[in-house]
Amino acid sequence: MRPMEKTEGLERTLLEVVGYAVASARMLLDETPAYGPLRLLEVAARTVSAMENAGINPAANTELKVQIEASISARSEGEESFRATMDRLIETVLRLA
Amino acid sequence: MDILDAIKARRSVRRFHEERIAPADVECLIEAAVWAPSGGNAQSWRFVVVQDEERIHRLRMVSPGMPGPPPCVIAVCQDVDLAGHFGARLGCEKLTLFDSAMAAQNLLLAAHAVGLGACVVASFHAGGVRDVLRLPESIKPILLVAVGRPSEEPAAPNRRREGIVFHETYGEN
Repeated sequence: MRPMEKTEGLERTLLEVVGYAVASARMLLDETPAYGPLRLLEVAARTVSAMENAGINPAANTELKVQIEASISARSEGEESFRATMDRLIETVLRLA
Repeated sequence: MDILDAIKARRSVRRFHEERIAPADVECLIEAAVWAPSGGNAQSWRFVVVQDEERIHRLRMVSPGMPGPPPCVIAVCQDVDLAGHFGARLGCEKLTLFDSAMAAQNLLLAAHAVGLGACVVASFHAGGVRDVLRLPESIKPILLVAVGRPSEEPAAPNRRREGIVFHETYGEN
């Protein structure tokens, strides 16, 4: 992919993330607040995908994607597991930042 | 496939392979959907099958509940003018929802029967979906169904049986 195409691709993907974040904010007014963490994790996942497609920090992205997916899955295992996986995710983000 | 087995084995699938769905399978899902019960036999449902990648991207922007990305989204819509003609206020306010849900359930079971996975999405911005799908004013999006070949096998969630069924009067077991 040429640099120009890469920038256009990143711009498009980031706009999609913005659209998703705004639509989520609007829909959460009518939905259970419990969906809030999931929507934010999805924003994080889509942002990491955008970084991945743009070739930004590829090694870190794989780790982040796995942990974000694990966090999303952990929601169905109960609140304690959901909290714990997100706590680990925060540690990972801090280590990578 | 036995109907009870199909009902119990169906899962809400939220991760999909990229491959497109065969036209025959799409037709099978729609055929199942239109055989759902319909209040007053209004059949005021309308289905928009979306397989264009760009359009699905745009749908996902305005649909927080949309998993995926799925290779196919079927928008279950209702012609509210027609529903009102057949069912008056009851038709517009309630039957459109019931009919759409029953059509969606048929669609989900048909998807399961042909080896596809699907997930019903109710969390979407109706105005945004209307814009992306160019729906006329009288056509209201009720549900979105994400469909594709599953890339996950979700475990069966518990089904509670205690305290939900009563006989003759509420509270009697």
